[in-house]
Amino acid sequence: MLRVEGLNVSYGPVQVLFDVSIEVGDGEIVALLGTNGAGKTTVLRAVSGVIPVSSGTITFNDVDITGASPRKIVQSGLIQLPGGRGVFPGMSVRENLEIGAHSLGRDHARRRRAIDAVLDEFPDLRDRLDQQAGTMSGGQQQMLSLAKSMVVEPKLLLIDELSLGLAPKIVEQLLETLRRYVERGVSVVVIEQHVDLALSIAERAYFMERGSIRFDGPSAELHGRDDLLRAVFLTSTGGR
Amino acid sequence: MTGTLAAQVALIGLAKSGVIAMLAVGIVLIYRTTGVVNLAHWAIGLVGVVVYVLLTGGDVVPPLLAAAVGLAVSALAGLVAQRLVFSRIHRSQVVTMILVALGVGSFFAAVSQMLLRGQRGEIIVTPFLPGGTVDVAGAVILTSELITILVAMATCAVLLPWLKRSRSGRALRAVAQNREAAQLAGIDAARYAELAWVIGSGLAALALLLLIPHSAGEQGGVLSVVHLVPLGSLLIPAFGAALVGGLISLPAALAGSLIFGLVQELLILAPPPIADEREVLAFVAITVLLLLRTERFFASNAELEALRS
Repeated sequence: MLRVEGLNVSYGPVQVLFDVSIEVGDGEIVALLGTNGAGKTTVLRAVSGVIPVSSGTITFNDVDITGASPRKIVQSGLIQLPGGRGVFPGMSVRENLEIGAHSLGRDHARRRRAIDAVLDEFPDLRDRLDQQAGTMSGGQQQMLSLAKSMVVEPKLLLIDELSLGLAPKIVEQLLETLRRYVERGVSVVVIEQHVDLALSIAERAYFMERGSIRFDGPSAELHGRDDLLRAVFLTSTGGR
Repeated sequence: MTGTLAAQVALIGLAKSGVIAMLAVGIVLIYRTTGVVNLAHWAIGLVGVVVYVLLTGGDVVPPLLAAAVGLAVSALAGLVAQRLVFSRIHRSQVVTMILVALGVGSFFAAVSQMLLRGQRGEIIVTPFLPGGTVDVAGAVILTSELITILVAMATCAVLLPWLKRSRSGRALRAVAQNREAAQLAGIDAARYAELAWVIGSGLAALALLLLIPHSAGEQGGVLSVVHLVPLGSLLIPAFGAALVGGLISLPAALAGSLIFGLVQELLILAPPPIADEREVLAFVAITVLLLLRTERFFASNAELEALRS
Protein backbone atom coordinates (compact mmCIF):
# COMPACT_ATOMS: atom_id res chain seq x y z
CA MET A 1 0.00 0.00 0.00
CA LEU A 2 2.74 2.47 1.02
CA ARG A 3 6.31 2.18 -0.21
CA VAL A 4 8.97 4.69 0.81
CA GLU A 5 12.32 4.16 -0.92
CA GLY A 6 15.64 5.87 -0.24
CA LEU A 7 14.07 8.92 1.39
CA ASN A 8 16.44 11.81 2.16
CA VAL A 9 15.19 14.97 3.87
CA SER A 10 17.06 18.10 4.95
CA TYR A 11 16.02 21.06 7.10
CA GLY A 12 18.02 23.82 5.43
CA PRO A 13 21.65 22.69 5.33
CA VAL A 14 21.13 19.94 7.91
CA GLN A 15 20.25 16.49 6.59
CA VAL A 16 17.87 14.73 8.99
CA LEU A 17 16.81 11.58 7.09
CA PHE A 18 19.25 9.25 5.35
CA ASP A 19 18.02 6.66 2.82
CA VAL A 20 14.92 5.73 4.77
CA SER A 21 12.89 2.88 3.24
CA ILE A 22 9.57 1.71 4.68
CA GLU A 23 6.80 -0.54 3.43
CA VAL A 24 3.25 -0.96 4.70
CA GLY A 25 0.85 -3.63 3.42
CA ASP A 26 -2.96 -3.62 3.23
CA GLY A 27 -4.64 -3.77 6.64
CA GLU A 28 -1.31 -3.85 8.43
CA ILE A 29 -0.24 -2.02 11.59
CA VAL A 30 3.40 -0.98 11.50
CA ALA A 31 5.23 0.65 14.42
CA LEU A 32 7.87 3.32 13.87
CA LEU A 33 10.08 3.49 16.93
CA GLY A 34 13.28 5.21 17.87
CA THR A 35 15.06 7.62 20.14
CA ASN A 36 14.03 11.25 20.53
CA GLY A 37 15.09 13.23 17.48
CA ALA A 38 15.66 10.09 15.40
CA GLY A 39 13.50 11.50 12.59
CA LYS A 40 10.28 9.50 13.05
CA THR A 41 7.97 12.51 12.82
CA THR A 42 9.96 13.83 9.85
CA VAL A 43 9.25 10.57 7.98
CA LEU A 44 5.51 11.02 8.53
CA ARG A 45 5.61 14.73 7.59
CA ALA A 46 7.48 13.93 4.39
CA VAL A 47 5.01 11.18 3.47
CA SER A 48 2.09 13.58 4.15
CA GLY A 49 3.66 16.20 1.90
CA VAL A 50 4.00 19.00 4.46
CA ILE A 51 7.80 19.10 4.07
CA PRO A 52 9.77 18.70 0.85
CA VAL A 53 11.96 15.64 0.24
CA SER A 54 15.49 15.98 -1.11
CA SER A 55 15.49 12.63 -2.89
CA GLY A 56 13.79 9.23 -2.83
CA THR A 57 10.31 8.11 -3.83
CA ILE A 58 7.03 7.69 -1.99
CA THR A 59 4.43 5.45 -3.64
CA PHE A 60 0.90 5.03 -2.32
CA ASN A 61 -1.34 2.40 -3.91
CA ASP A 62 1.06 2.28 -6.88
CA VAL A 63 0.82 6.04 -7.45
CA ASP A 64 3.95 8.16 -7.04
CA ILE A 65 3.03 10.84 -4.47
CA THR A 66 6.57 12.21 -3.99
CA GLY A 67 6.30 16.00 -3.92
CA ALA A 68 2.48 15.95 -4.18
CA SER A 69 0.57 18.59 -2.19
CA PRO A 70 -0.86 17.60 1.22
CA ARG A 71 -4.34 18.18 -0.23
CA LYS A 72 -3.79 15.67 -3.04
CA ILE A 73 -2.32 13.17 -0.59
CA VAL A 74 -5.31 13.48 1.77
CA GLN A 75 -7.67 13.05 -1.19
CA SER A 76 -5.85 9.86 -2.15
CA GLY A 77 -6.77 8.37 1.24
CA LEU A 78 -3.61 8.91 3.26
CA ILE A 79 -4.21 10.82 6.48
CA GLN A 80 -1.83 11.85 9.24
CA LEU A 81 -2.96 12.42 12.78
CA PRO A 82 -0.60 15.16 13.99
CA GLY A 83 1.28 14.62 17.22
CA GLY A 84 -0.04 16.32 20.34
CA ARG A 85 -1.86 19.12 18.57
CA GLY A 86 -4.21 17.40 16.21
CA VAL A 87 -7.36 19.30 17.14
CA PHE A 88 -8.19 22.95 16.69
CA PRO A 89 -8.64 23.97 20.33
CA GLY A 90 -10.48 27.22 19.55
CA MET A 91 -13.15 25.39 17.57
CA SER A 92 -16.07 23.24 18.71
CA VAL A 93 -16.10 19.46 18.28
CA ARG A 94 -18.54 19.86 15.40
CA GLU A 95 -16.28 22.39 13.68
CA ASN A 96 -13.28 20.10 14.11
CA LEU A 97 -15.18 17.28 12.43
CA GLU A 98 -16.22 19.69 9.66
CA ILE A 99 -12.54 20.52 9.14
CA GLY A 100 -11.87 16.78 8.92
CA ALA A 101 -14.55 16.60 6.22
CA HIS A 102 -13.14 19.57 4.27
CA SER A 103 -11.63 17.47 1.49
CA LEU A 104 -15.02 15.86 0.77
CA GLY A 105 -15.87 19.07 -1.07
CA ARG A 106 -18.73 21.55 -1.12
CA ASP A 107 -21.55 19.01 -0.89
CA HIS A 108 -22.92 19.81 2.57
CA ALA A 109 -25.12 16.69 2.74
CA ARG A 110 -22.18 14.43 1.89
CA ARG A 111 -20.06 16.01 4.64
CA ARG A 112 -22.90 15.63 7.15
CA ARG A 113 -23.37 11.95 6.28
CA ALA A 114 -19.63 11.30 6.73
CA ILE A 115 -19.61 13.09 10.10
CA ASP A 116 -22.70 11.17 11.22
CA ALA A 117 -21.03 7.88 10.32
CA VAL A 118 -17.97 8.79 12.39
CA LEU A 119 -20.12 9.86 15.34
CA ASP A 120 -21.61 6.35 15.34
CA GLU A 121 -18.06 5.07 15.98
CA PHE A 122 -17.31 7.76 18.58
CA PRO A 123 -20.63 8.09 20.44
CA ASP A 124 -19.10 10.11 23.32
CA LEU A 125 -18.43 12.97 20.91
CA ARG A 126 -22.09 13.22 19.93
CA ASP A 127 -22.95 14.72 23.32
CA ARG A 128 -20.12 17.22 23.05
CA LEU A 129 -20.66 18.59 19.56
CA ASP A 130 -20.90 22.20 20.75
CA GLN A 131 -18.09 21.96 23.30
CA GLN A 132 -14.88 23.83 22.51
CA ALA A 133 -12.20 21.23 21.76
CA GLY A 134 -9.59 23.01 23.91
CA THR A 135 -11.73 22.55 27.02
CA MET A 136 -11.80 18.73 26.72
CA SER A 137 -9.42 16.33 28.48
CA GLY A 138 -6.30 15.10 26.68
CA GLY A 139 -7.92 11.72 26.03
CA GLN A 140 -11.07 13.26 24.61
CA GLN A 141 -9.00 15.52 22.39
CA GLN A 142 -7.05 12.55 21.06
CA MET A 143 -10.33 10.73 20.46
CA LEU A 144 -11.57 13.78 18.53
CA SER A 145 -8.31 13.93 16.59
CA LEU A 146 -8.78 10.29 15.58
CA ALA A 147 -12.46 10.86 14.71
CA LYS A 148 -11.53 13.94 12.66
CA SER A 149 -9.07 11.84 10.66
CA MET A 150 -11.59 9.05 10.07
CA VAL A 151 -14.30 11.29 8.57
CA VAL A 152 -12.83 10.88 5.08
CA GLU A 153 -12.47 7.08 5.50
CA PRO A 154 -8.70 6.91 4.95
CA LYS A 155 -6.99 3.82 3.60
CA LEU A 156 -3.81 4.54 5.52
CA LEU A 157 -3.55 6.35 8.84
CA LEU A 158 -0.26 7.79 10.08
CA ILE A 159 -0.36 8.36 13.83
CA ASP A 160 2.27 10.54 15.50
CA GLU A 161 2.14 9.56 19.19
CA LEU A 162 -1.09 7.86 20.12
CA SER A 163 -0.65 7.49 23.86
CA LEU A 164 1.41 10.54 24.82
CA GLY A 165 0.29 11.85 28.21
CA LEU A 166 -2.83 9.68 28.31
CA ALA A 167 -4.06 7.31 31.05
CA PRO A 168 -3.81 3.57 30.20
CA LYS A 169 -7.60 3.20 30.27
CA ILE A 170 -8.01 5.93 27.67
CA VAL A 171 -5.26 4.43 25.51
CA GLU A 172 -7.06 1.08 25.61
CA GLN A 173 -10.26 2.77 24.39
CA LEU A 174 -8.37 4.43 21.55
CA LEU A 175 -6.75 1.13 20.57
CA GLU A 176 -10.08 -0.65 20.58
CA THR A 177 -11.48 1.93 18.16
CA LEU A 178 -8.36 1.72 16.03
CA ARG A 179 -8.54 -2.09 15.85
CA ARG A 180 -12.12 -1.87 14.57
CA TYR A 181 -10.89 0.25 11.67
CA VAL A 182 -7.96 -2.08 10.98
CA GLU A 183 -10.35 -5.03 10.79
CA ARG A 184 -12.11 -3.16 7.99
CA GLY A 185 -8.88 -2.91 6.03
CA VAL A 186 -7.37 0.41 7.18
CA SER A 187 -3.57 0.30 7.43
CA VAL A 188 -1.77 2.14 10.22
CA VAL A 189 1.72 3.47 10.82
CA VAL A 190 2.13 4.45 14.44
CA ILE A 191 4.92 6.36 16.16
CA GLU A 192 4.91 5.48 19.82
CA GLN A 193 7.20 6.26 22.75
CA HIS A 194 5.62 3.44 24.70
CA VAL A 195 7.59 0.57 23.16
CA ASP A 196 5.64 -2.30 24.75
CA LEU A 197 2.36 -0.80 23.61
CA ALA A 198 3.63 -0.30 20.07
CA LEU A 199 5.00 -3.81 19.79
CA SER A 200 1.78 -5.30 21.20
CA ILE A 201 -0.37 -3.80 18.45
CA ALA A 202 2.00 -3.88 15.47
CA GLU A 203 2.97 -6.98 13.53
CA ARG A 204 6.03 -5.31 12.11
CA ALA A 205 8.28 -2.55 13.37
CA TYR A 206 10.95 -0.16 12.19
CA PHE A 207 13.53 1.24 14.55
CA MET A 208 15.19 4.57 13.73
CA GLU A 209 18.31 6.21 15.07
CA ARG A 210 19.88 9.47 13.87
CA GLY A 211 17.79 9.65 10.73
CA SER A 212 18.38 6.08 9.55
CA ILE A 213 16.50 2.81 9.83
CA ARG A 214 18.44 0.51 12.15
CA PHE A 215 15.94 -2.35 12.35
CA ASP A 216 13.19 -3.64 10.10
CA GLY A 217 11.30 -6.80 10.94
CA PRO A 218 8.66 -8.55 13.04
CA SER A 219 7.78 -6.83 16.33
CA ALA A 220 8.60 -9.96 18.32
CA GLU A 221 12.14 -9.84 16.98
CA LEU A 222 12.62 -6.21 17.99
CA HIS A 223 11.45 -7.16 21.49
CA GLY A 224 14.64 -9.15 21.90
CA ARG A 225 16.95 -6.38 20.67
CA ASP A 226 17.98 -4.83 23.98
CA ASP A 227 20.90 -3.05 22.28
CA LEU A 228 18.39 -0.87 20.38
CA LEU A 229 15.55 -0.58 22.86
CA ARG A 230 17.81 0.44 25.73
CA ALA A 231 18.44 3.74 23.90
CA VAL A 232 14.70 4.49 23.87
CA PHE A 233 14.28 3.69 27.54
CA LEU A 234 17.32 5.76 28.48
CA THR A 235 16.14 8.82 26.58
CA SER A 236 12.49 8.54 27.53
CA THR A 237 13.21 8.16 31.26
CA GLY A 238 16.29 10.27 31.70
CA GLY A 239 16.12 12.56 28.71
CA ARG A 240 13.61 15.12 29.95
CA MET B 1 -25.83 71.27 24.85
CA THR B 2 -22.74 69.54 26.24
CA GLY B 3 -24.57 66.24 26.06
CA THR B 4 -25.40 66.78 22.38
CA LEU B 5 -21.82 67.79 21.64
CA ALA B 6 -20.53 64.66 23.37
CA ALA B 7 -23.04 62.53 21.42
CA GLN B 8 -21.95 64.19 18.20
CA VAL B 9 -18.27 63.60 18.92
CA ALA B 10 -19.05 60.02 19.97
CA LEU B 11 -20.83 59.37 16.66
CA ILE B 12 -17.89 60.81 14.71
CA GLY B 13 -15.69 58.57 16.88
CA LEU B 14 -17.86 55.61 15.97
CA ALA B 15 -17.30 56.35 12.26
CA LYS B 16 -13.57 56.45 12.95
CA SER B 17 -13.91 53.15 14.87
CA GLY B 18 -15.54 51.67 11.79
CA VAL B 19 -12.63 52.65 9.57
CA ILE B 20 -10.11 51.41 12.15
CA ALA B 21 -12.06 48.13 12.49
CA MET B 22 -11.94 47.43 8.74
CA LEU B 23 -8.18 47.98 8.78
CA ALA B 24 -7.68 45.98 12.00
CA VAL B 25 -9.68 42.98 10.71
CA GLY B 26 -7.34 42.78 7.71
CA ILE B 27 -4.25 43.09 9.92
CA VAL B 28 -5.45 40.21 12.14
CA LEU B 29 -6.55 37.95 9.25
CA ILE B 30 -3.23 38.42 7.45
CA TYR B 31 -1.10 38.00 10.57
CA ARG B 32 -2.89 34.85 11.71
CA THR B 33 -2.81 33.08 8.38
CA THR B 34 0.66 34.12 7.19
CA GLY B 35 2.56 35.56 10.18
CA VAL B 36 3.06 38.87 8.37
CA VAL B 37 2.88 41.99 10.56
CA ASN B 38 1.53 43.90 7.61
CA LEU B 39 3.07 47.35 7.74
CA ALA B 40 2.23 47.62 4.03
CA HIS B 41 -1.48 47.45 4.81
CA TRP B 42 -2.31 51.14 4.34
CA ALA B 43 -0.18 51.48 1.21
CA ILE B 44 -1.98 48.54 -0.42
CA GLY B 45 -5.29 50.24 0.44
CA LEU B 46 -3.93 53.51 -0.94
CA VAL B 47 -3.41 51.96 -4.38
CA GLY B 48 -7.16 51.37 -4.54
CA VAL B 49 -7.87 54.95 -3.51
CA VAL B 50 -5.55 56.28 -6.22
CA VAL B 51 -7.22 54.08 -8.84
CA TYR B 52 -10.54 55.53 -7.69
CA VAL B 53 -9.22 59.08 -7.94
CA LEU B 54 -7.86 58.50 -11.46
CA LEU B 55 -11.02 56.77 -12.70
CA THR B 56 -13.38 59.46 -11.40
CA GLY B 57 -11.11 62.25 -12.68
CA GLY B 58 -12.51 62.16 -16.21
CA ASP B 59 -16.17 61.90 -15.15
CA VAL B 60 -16.48 58.82 -17.38
CA VAL B 61 -16.64 56.07 -14.79
CA PRO B 62 -19.48 56.29 -12.25
CA PRO B 63 -18.08 56.85 -8.72
CA LEU B 64 -19.52 53.64 -7.21
CA LEU B 65 -18.07 51.54 -10.03
CA ALA B 66 -14.73 53.32 -9.62
CA ALA B 67 -14.80 52.54 -5.89
CA ALA B 68 -15.49 48.87 -6.66
CA VAL B 69 -12.59 48.78 -9.15
CA GLY B 70 -10.31 50.50 -6.61
CA LEU B 71 -11.25 47.90 -4.04
CA ALA B 72 -10.57 45.07 -6.49
CA VAL B 73 -7.17 46.53 -7.44
CA SER B 74 -6.11 46.67 -3.77
CA ALA B 75 -7.30 43.09 -3.28
CA LEU B 76 -5.21 42.09 -6.30
CA ALA B 77 -2.20 44.04 -4.98
CA GLY B 78 -2.49 42.11 -1.69
CA LEU B 79 -2.70 38.80 -3.55
CA VAL B 80 0.40 39.65 -5.60
CA ALA B 81 2.33 40.75 -2.50
CA GLN B 82 1.55 37.43 -0.78
CA ARG B 83 2.19 35.21 -3.79
CA LEU B 84 5.38 36.87 -5.03
CA VAL B 85 6.95 38.06 -1.79
CA PHE B 86 5.58 37.01 1.58
CA SER B 87 4.90 33.34 0.76
CA ARG B 88 8.64 32.94 0.13
CA ILE B 89 9.64 33.99 3.65
CA HIS B 90 9.24 31.53 6.52
CA ARG B 91 7.06 32.93 9.27
CA SER B 92 9.74 32.25 11.89
CA GLN B 93 11.93 34.93 10.22
CA VAL B 94 10.11 37.74 12.01
CA VAL B 95 12.65 40.53 11.44
CA THR B 96 12.99 39.73 7.73
CA MET B 97 9.22 39.71 7.44
CA ILE B 98 8.87 43.17 9.05
CA LEU B 99 11.63 44.70 6.91
CA VAL B 100 10.12 43.23 3.76
CA ALA B 101 6.67 44.53 4.78
CA LEU B 102 8.14 48.00 5.12
CA GLY B 103 9.70 47.61 1.68
CA VAL B 104 6.46 46.41 0.10
CA GLY B 105 4.64 49.32 1.77
CA SER B 106 7.14 51.81 0.34
CA PHE B 107 6.77 50.18 -3.07
CA PHE B 108 2.98 50.56 -3.17
CA ALA B 109 3.19 54.11 -1.76
CA ALA B 110 5.67 54.95 -4.54
CA VAL B 111 3.40 53.35 -7.17
CA SER B 112 0.51 55.46 -5.85
CA GLN B 113 2.56 58.66 -6.04
CA MET B 114 3.77 57.77 -9.53
CA LEU B 115 0.19 57.27 -10.70
CA LEU B 116 -0.73 60.66 -9.28
CA ARG B 117 2.32 62.43 -10.65
CA GLY B 118 0.35 63.90 -13.52
CA GLN B 119 -2.10 65.39 -11.03
CA ARG B 120 -0.35 68.45 -9.67
CA GLY B 121 -1.61 70.16 -6.56
CA GLU B 122 -5.29 69.65 -6.01
CA ILE B 123 -7.61 67.16 -7.69
CA ILE B 124 -11.34 67.46 -7.99
CA VAL B 125 -12.73 64.26 -6.57
CA THR B 126 -16.28 63.10 -6.94
CA PRO B 127 -17.19 61.46 -3.62
CA PHE B 128 -19.15 58.23 -4.08
CA LEU B 129 -21.15 58.80 -0.92
CA PRO B 130 -23.85 61.48 -0.60
CA GLY B 131 -22.78 64.77 0.94
CA GLY B 132 -24.68 66.79 3.53
CA THR B 133 -25.44 66.07 7.16
CA VAL B 134 -27.91 63.93 9.08
CA ASP B 135 -29.52 64.44 12.46
CA VAL B 136 -29.14 61.36 14.67
CA ALA B 137 -31.22 61.95 17.81
CA GLY B 138 -30.16 65.59 17.99
CA ALA B 139 -26.51 65.00 17.09
CA VAL B 140 -25.59 66.26 13.61
CA ILE B 141 -22.95 64.32 11.66
CA LEU B 142 -21.93 64.00 8.01
CA THR B 143 -24.05 61.56 6.01
CA SER B 144 -20.83 59.86 4.92
CA GLU B 145 -19.94 59.28 8.59
CA LEU B 146 -23.27 57.59 9.22
CA ILE B 147 -22.74 55.46 6.11
CA THR B 148 -19.24 54.57 7.31
CA ILE B 149 -20.70 53.32 10.61
CA LEU B 150 -23.32 51.27 8.74
CA VAL B 151 -20.80 49.83 6.26
CA ALA B 152 -18.48 48.78 9.10
CA MET B 153 -21.38 47.10 10.90
CA ALA B 154 -22.50 45.38 7.68
CA THR B 155 -18.94 44.18 7.03
CA CYS B 156 -18.83 42.55 10.46
CA ALA B 157 -22.35 41.16 10.02
CA VAL B 158 -21.24 39.41 6.82
CA LEU B 159 -17.64 38.51 7.64
CA LEU B 160 -18.02 37.04 11.14
CA PRO B 161 -20.85 34.56 10.33
CA TRP B 162 -19.00 33.64 7.10
CA LEU B 163 -15.87 32.83 9.10
CA LYS B 164 -17.91 30.94 11.68
CA ARG B 165 -20.23 28.87 9.53
CA SER B 166 -19.08 28.51 5.93
CA ARG B 167 -16.74 25.77 4.72
CA SER B 168 -14.26 28.34 3.39
CA GLY B 169 -14.48 30.49 6.52
CA ARG B 170 -13.79 27.48 8.74
CA ALA B 171 -10.85 26.45 6.56
CA LEU B 172 -9.44 29.98 6.81
CA ARG B 173 -9.74 29.82 10.61
CA ALA B 174 -8.10 26.39 10.63
CA VAL B 175 -5.11 27.72 8.66
CA ALA B 176 -5.02 30.69 11.06
CA GLN B 177 -4.96 28.43 14.13
CA ASN B 178 -2.57 25.72 12.99
CA ARG B 179 -1.31 25.73 9.44
CA GLU B 180 0.18 22.24 9.44
CA ALA B 181 -2.82 20.59 11.11
CA ALA B 182 -5.01 22.31 8.50
CA GLN B 183 -2.83 20.99 5.68
CA LEU B 184 -3.06 17.49 7.15
CA ALA B 185 -6.85 17.80 6.93
CA GLY B 186 -6.50 18.41 3.19
CA ILE B 187 -6.86 22.19 3.31
CA ASP B 188 -4.84 24.10 0.72
CA ALA B 189 -3.13 26.45 3.21
CA ALA B 190 -1.45 28.59 0.52
CA ARG B 191 -4.78 29.27 -1.18
CA TYR B 192 -6.47 30.29 2.06
CA ALA B 193 -3.52 32.50 3.02
CA GLU B 194 -4.04 34.29 -0.29
CA LEU B 195 -7.75 34.57 0.43
CA ALA B 196 -6.91 36.28 3.74
CA TRP B 197 -4.74 38.78 1.85
CA VAL B 198 -7.46 39.42 -0.71
CA ILE B 199 -10.09 40.05 1.99
CA GLY B 200 -7.73 42.11 4.18
CA SER B 201 -6.44 44.26 1.32
CA GLY B 202 -9.95 44.81 -0.07
CA LEU B 203 -11.09 45.94 3.37
CA ALA B 204 -8.10 48.30 3.64
CA ALA B 205 -9.15 49.95 0.38
CA LEU B 206 -12.78 50.12 1.53
CA ALA B 207 -11.74 51.76 4.81
CA LEU B 208 -9.66 54.42 3.06
CA LEU B 209 -12.26 54.96 0.32
CA LEU B 210 -14.85 55.72 2.99
CA LEU B 211 -12.60 58.52 4.18
CA ILE B 212 -12.51 60.30 0.82
CA PRO B 213 -15.84 62.11 1.19
CA HIS B 214 -14.77 63.25 4.66
CA SER B 215 -11.61 64.86 3.30
CA ALA B 216 -13.33 66.12 0.20
CA GLY B 217 -16.15 67.53 2.28
CA GLU B 218 -13.73 69.60 4.29
CA GLN B 219 -12.16 70.92 1.13
CA GLY B 220 -15.45 71.49 -0.67
CA GLY B 221 -15.06 68.53 -3.01
CA VAL B 222 -11.41 69.18 -3.69
CA LEU B 223 -8.90 66.62 -2.55
CA SER B 224 -5.22 67.44 -2.36
CA VAL B 225 -2.58 64.82 -3.10
CA VAL B 226 -1.23 65.82 0.28
CA HIS B 227 -4.40 64.38 1.79
CA LEU B 228 -3.69 60.87 0.60
CA VAL B 229 -0.41 60.06 2.29
CA PRO B 230 -1.49 60.95 5.85
CA LEU B 231 -4.10 58.18 5.48
CA GLY B 232 -1.17 56.01 6.54
CA SER B 233 -1.34 57.46 10.05
CA LEU B 234 -4.57 55.46 10.47
CA LEU B 235 -2.43 52.36 10.56
CA ILE B 236 -1.33 53.36 14.07
CA PRO B 237 -4.73 53.11 15.79
CA ALA B 238 -5.52 50.11 13.54
CA PHE B 239 -2.47 48.26 14.83
CA GLY B 240 -3.34 49.41 18.35
CA ALA B 241 -6.83 47.92 17.95
CA ALA B 242 -5.44 44.67 16.50
CA LEU B 243 -2.97 44.46 19.38
CA VAL B 244 -5.85 44.54 21.90
CA GLY B 245 -6.44 41.00 20.63
CA GLY B 246 -2.73 40.21 20.41
CA LEU B 247 -3.02 40.39 16.58
CA ILE B 248 -4.86 37.06 16.77
CA SER B 249 -8.36 37.67 18.13
CA LEU B 250 -10.89 39.23 15.77
CA PRO B 251 -13.58 40.02 18.37
CA ALA B 252 -10.98 41.67 20.63
CA ALA B 253 -9.62 43.64 17.65
CA LEU B 254 -13.15 44.88 16.94
CA ALA B 255 -13.58 45.90 20.57
CA GLY B 256 -10.17 47.58 20.35
CA SER B 257 -11.28 49.49 17.24
CA LEU B 258 -14.32 50.75 19.09
CA ILE B 259 -12.17 51.95 21.98
CA PHE B 260 -9.45 53.56 19.83
CA GLY B 261 -11.93 55.39 17.58
CA LEU B 262 -14.14 56.62 20.40
CA VAL B 263 -11.33 57.61 22.78
CA GLN B 264 -9.38 59.44 20.07
CA GLU B 265 -12.41 61.54 19.13
CA LEU B 266 -13.75 62.08 22.66
CA LEU B 267 -10.32 63.34 23.75
CA ILE B 268 -11.05 66.40 21.57
CA LEU B 269 -13.24 67.49 24.46
CA ALA B 270 -10.33 67.13 26.91
CA PRO B 271 -8.19 70.13 28.03
CA PRO B 272 -5.71 71.39 25.36
CA PRO B 273 -2.48 69.53 26.16
CA ILE B 274 -4.23 66.14 26.07
CA ALA B 275 -6.55 67.03 23.17
CA ASP B 276 -3.57 68.17 21.07
CA GLU B 277 -1.53 65.03 21.68
CA ARG B 278 -4.25 62.51 20.89
CA GLU B 279 -2.19 60.77 18.22
CA VAL B 280 0.72 60.31 20.63
CA LEU B 281 -1.59 58.57 23.09
CA ALA B 282 -2.24 55.88 20.46
CA PHE B 283 1.50 55.16 20.43
CA VAL B 284 1.54 54.98 24.23
CA ALA B 285 -1.37 52.55 24.13
CA ILE B 286 0.44 50.38 21.55
CA THR B 287 3.57 50.29 23.72
CA VAL B 288 1.54 49.24 26.75
CA LEU B 289 -0.29 46.55 24.74
CA LEU B 290 3.00 45.19 23.39
CA LEU B 291 4.48 45.08 26.90
CA LEU B 292 1.39 43.22 28.12
CA ARG B 293 1.95 40.58 25.40
CA THR B 294 -1.80 40.47 24.86
CA GLU B 295 -1.64 37.40 22.60
CA ARG B 296 -1.27 35.17 25.68
CA PHE B 297 -4.83 36.08 26.76
CA PHE B 298 -6.28 34.64 23.55
CA ALA B 299 -4.22 31.52 22.87
CA SER B 300 -2.40 28.81 24.83
CA ASN B 301 1.37 28.43 24.55
CA ALA B 302 0.90 25.39 22.32
CA GLU B 303 -1.35 27.38 19.99
CA LEU B 304 1.12 30.27 19.84
CA GLU B 305 3.92 27.82 19.08
CA ALA B 306 1.83 26.29 16.28
CA LEU B 307 1.17 29.79 14.97
CA ARG B 308 4.85 30.66 14.79
CA SER B 309 6.09 27.39 13.30
